[in-house]
Parts: sequence; structure tokens; C-alpha cells
Amino acid sequence: MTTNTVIHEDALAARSALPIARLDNVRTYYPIRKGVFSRTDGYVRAVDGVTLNIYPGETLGLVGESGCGKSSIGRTILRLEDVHEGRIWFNEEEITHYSDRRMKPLRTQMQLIFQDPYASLNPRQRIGELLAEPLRAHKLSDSRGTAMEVDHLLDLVGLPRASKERFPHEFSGGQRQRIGIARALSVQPKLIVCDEPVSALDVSIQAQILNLLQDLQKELGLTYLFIAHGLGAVKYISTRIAVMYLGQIVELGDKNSLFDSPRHPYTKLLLEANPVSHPRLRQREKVVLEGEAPNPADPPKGCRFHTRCPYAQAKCQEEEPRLDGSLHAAACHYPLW
Amino acid sequence: MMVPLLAIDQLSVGFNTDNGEVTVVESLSLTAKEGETICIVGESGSGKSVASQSILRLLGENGIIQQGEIRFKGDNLLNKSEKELRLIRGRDIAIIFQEPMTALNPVFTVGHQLREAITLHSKRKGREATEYAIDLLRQVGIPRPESVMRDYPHTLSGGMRQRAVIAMAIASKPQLLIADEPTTALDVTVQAQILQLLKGLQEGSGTTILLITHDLGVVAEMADTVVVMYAGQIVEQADAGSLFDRPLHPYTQGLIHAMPSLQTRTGVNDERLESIPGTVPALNRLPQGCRFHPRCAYSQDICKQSSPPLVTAGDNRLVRCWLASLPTSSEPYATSGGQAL
Repeated sequence: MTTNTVIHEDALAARSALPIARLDNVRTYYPIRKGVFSRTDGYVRAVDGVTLNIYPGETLGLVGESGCGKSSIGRTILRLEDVHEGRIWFNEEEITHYSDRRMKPLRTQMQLIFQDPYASLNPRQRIGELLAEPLRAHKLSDSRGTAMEVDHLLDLVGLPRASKERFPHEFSGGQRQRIGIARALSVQPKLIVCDEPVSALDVSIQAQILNLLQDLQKELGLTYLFIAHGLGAVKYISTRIAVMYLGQIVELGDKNSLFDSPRHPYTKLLLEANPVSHPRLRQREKVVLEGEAPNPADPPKGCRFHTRCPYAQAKCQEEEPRLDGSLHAAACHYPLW
Repeated sequence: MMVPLLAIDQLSVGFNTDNGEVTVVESLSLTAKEGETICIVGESGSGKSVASQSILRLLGENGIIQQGEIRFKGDNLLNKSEKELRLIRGRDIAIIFQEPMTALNPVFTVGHQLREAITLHSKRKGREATEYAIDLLRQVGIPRPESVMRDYPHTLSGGMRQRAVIAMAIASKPQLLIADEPTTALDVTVQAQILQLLKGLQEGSGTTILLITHDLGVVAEMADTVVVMYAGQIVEQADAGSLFDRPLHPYTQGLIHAMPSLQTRTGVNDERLESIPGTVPALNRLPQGCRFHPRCAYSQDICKQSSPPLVTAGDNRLVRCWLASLPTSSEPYATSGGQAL
């Protein structure tokens, strides 16, 4: 298969470098609290045994239905959540149990871009202030250097320099996302977790932001973890894709291989659920993924997808499949190929 | 000629704001035949939701119908009293929204609300209404309908809530179903289920669907006819196949090209999406001339000076663009064989 040779080259090239971030069997659980004394009554297993490498310069796309734990993975990598189990490395430095104080110098190297930048921008601060703040907090430059750096950041994200005198509410959604990106870039990070960065934007603006992210990656050598439920955007921007279901990665591979020939039944159905791009491609009898994802506080035994899987067999109800070690990996007892 | 189910004629809608009245929908005309799915597609501020909400007069107190007619089976709805309109709402014309909780009352069970919708518009009472309610929940694909009848809306997932709202909407077998971004808040998997459900219901009952969306993927899945709106105006109208084959308006072309799709194969970081520069204009600060001209790659002098009319362009197609109106210019249609007029 020709596609397979392509995957191997790309993936091998990526793997020749040391990962910038590494998760080993990581579990991030959120306690469910009940009653007046906030007694812990079970856990939402948002991330439940994830092993994942992110390589420098790549864009790893993370897809899955809402509640599958994709945002939690992003937050876990940035150590914005405490892990329940497992280990995390950043640039070969184990950060699993780092305190906030020890994390602080690393914070300049890892940043987060949100879906709604407005929520993360102080409405009373002018853009110039917003962009200068991280530089000061991390003592990255003196006041003259800061002013120049703010101009440079605005240039980078394609906003006029005069923007620094204005307030966040004066900008449109797409422009605010540019401000969010500029703020993330201010500390010169290596890794940026992009959590649904274009989901709230108009279609015509989405493409602008995706192109901007791609240009910045080339220019600054950034690594992205790109989290989104819009598969088109993920396919466009990513090099590799990880598909999540109920806290676990069920498939991981080069994007063309994964989109062209998915191995996991869940991936296949997820792709088929995506709307067509032309009316001619409508399928009369579309196979639709039935039902909804089960409760992550009480995932099904065996393969977590077996309750919705059209191919499930007896073994799937009993035994939990593991992600096989191949370059296009799937966690399925009966993969499609 | 038969009277169309819905005919909107030269409708203009405005809103009262602190800075005076702002027109958000301008001279919109469209007709919907029985059993047809019409998609109105546009970005935020295009006026697509306001246009659909005016049909049932759901504009709120600041909304003003400035001019036009909305004829449902030949009757102008704008001349109806609030009382007359209440009879039509829910019975002949139903509407569903992006967020199903806006249509559900959190303090009553699903069953209670569904039975209310049934008894309000039909003669079914008591046991019969309950059985019909359960049957409707089953039709919209809700598992264990008997037990869901006793559930409160907040205990259901977003997809299940939207199904429950659809069940309420179809209770009286409306002839027109307005669906305003019905799947925008849902996962693609659940979106596919809901779209399939809507198609299935339409095949069964011949309901006309007016679907409002920002998502061209949803349009490609559902539409017979597509109406593209930009900054309060229709800029293009065509049957779905022709529109995707050969979009005439530069804005439509931009939207289609800006859509990252799964069907096109992309290399690793070597292609760029085409994007439309700039942003959607604010409705109180519209540019002079063509409303799209500041973002348009083909903009010429005339586009900056005067507003283009909506003109016919081939079979059942309409486009609002000077380049389509001026026979000398065929630039945007370079790939299309220049048969714009």
C-alpha cells in the first residue's frame, strides 16, 4: 500500500527526535462530590491510561466527542491538572509532581490557546497591557524591550500596531483569537496546546486563523497539540492524529493514513458522521454511529466502545484492547485492517 | 400556478438599538415548496436567524418588521393577530433552536411538556395523548421512551434533548418546520443522527424544512435549495448541486473554499486554505456600495459606489454581484465557462 510507505517516512522522521512532551499511562480523575461534607463519591475518569509522545515541530491533532477527555489531556500536559497516576515529561524532564513554583520557569515554554479568547482577556486592560503582562511576570524584558516586543507580537499575528491602545471588546471574534495567540506567543513557547481555537469563529474567519497558526509554526518552529471536534480543521492542520474515546486513545497515526484508512471502527464511524463537502457525495443509507458515549465515571467493561460498536464480539465485552505499537496504532481486538 | 407553502416577499426587518433603528434583514424574498428543504446559510450578523424568526413573529419587542409580506399558504402572517398566530405556531409551523433548553421548561417532565404540545393542538386527551407522546419519542429515536417521559430535561444529554424538542415540534405534523442551527451545539456523531432523523421525518410526512445554518457541511447534506446571506441580504440562491458545483458570488466561492473538508486530500503543511480577508461588517456601519466589496478580491469601482441588485443568473439562480450583472466581466467565473447571464 502506497499510503503506508508515506506514513512510515513521516512518522519515522518525527520519531527520530526526542519528544517535547511525553505521557506514560497517565490518568487524570475528577472527584464527584456529594452531600454537605463534599464526600467523594467516585471519579470521572477524564484521562484513563494515556501514553502519548508529542514530537518537536509536529501538530498532533486530538479528536473525539465532547466529554472524551481531549481537553483534559491538554490541561494535564500543561500540568494544569494533577495526575492521579502515571508520569509526564517535558523535554525529558519529569514534571509529574512539580509544584507551581517549579513549574513556573517551564510555563514560558508551554502555552494554551482557548476556544473563547474573550473569556481569557481582562476587559479593562488595553491590548498593549495584555501582551506586556506575561513578559513582565516572567521577567523576560525591560520596559523598552517590552514595547518593541508588543509591536513585534502584533505584527506576527497580523494586527495593526495601533491595536495596543484599544480594549478587547473593540475587536471581532477572529481578531480576539489573534490577540489570544499573540499573548500565548509573548513568552516564546515551544509547545502550544490549542483547545478548540476556531470552533467559535465564523467559517470565513476560521481559515484565517488556521493559516495563521500554520505560518507561525513554520516561522517560530512551534509544536502544537491541536484539540478540536471539527474534523476538517484537524485534518487540515495536523501531521498526526490521535482519536480519543472515553478517556483513552483508540487510534493514533499519520493524518492521511488515519483519514484514508482508519483501523478502529470508532474512527471510521466518526469520519462518516462528518458532513459531506458536496451534495453529490450524500449517502442514501449513511451508517450512523448509534447512541452516545457512556458515562466516563462508569465506563463499560472490556473495550469501552463495545456498547456502540457494530463489529463487537464476545471478547470485546471482556478484555480491554491495548493500543498496539505500530506506527498507525489502534486499540481494537478486531481492527479493520 | 399553485400557491407555494411559504412565500416571503421583500421582507425587511430592523431592530431598535441605542443608536437608532438598524436594518438587519433587507428586502428578502424566498419561496418554499411543499416537501422541500431550504437552507439559509450565512455567518453571524447575516440576518439568517432574524429572517426565520420573523415568520412566527418571534423577534422580541425591539424587532420591527419594516416592510414586506410573509405568506403561508397564501395568507399574510403579518396581518394576523397574536391570537391567530398562536394557533398557527406549533400546529402548522414549528420551530426548533440550537439550544433545546430554550424550548423546554426545566421544572416539568419531558412527558408533561410533550403531552401539553399534543393536547394543545389536537383532540387527543388522557391515555391517548400519553400513548401518542411515547410513540413520538420512539419516532425520534429516543430509547426507553416510557421512562424518558418521566425524566426532567436537564437529566438528558444535548442530543436527547434536541430529539425531545423535535418530538414536540412534529407532534401536530406541521407543514413547515423551521430549524435554526439545530445541530450546532452537538457533536458530529449526534449531528449526523439528528440530520438523518430530520430527513427521515420529512420523507414520511412531506414537511417543508427551513434550515438555518452557518455550516456548509450541513447544507451539503440537507439542502434542496440554498440561500446565501451576507450582512442582511441574499447574495446568492441556487439549488444545492449547482451552488457547490459553480458558486457565482465571490462570497459563496470564498465560503466553499474556506471549508476544510475531509474529502480533499491534503499534504503535510504544504497547502493553505483559501480565506476571506477581513471581518463581517457591523450592520450599523455597512460599507457603501456592495456590502462585500471590502473583502472581495474582484472588487471594482462600481462595487464601491453602488449596491448591486439581485439578478437572475441561469435556471432558478439568483446572484447579487456587479460582475454577474455586467456582461463585460467574467473574471470570477473564469473556471465556469462564463455563462453567468
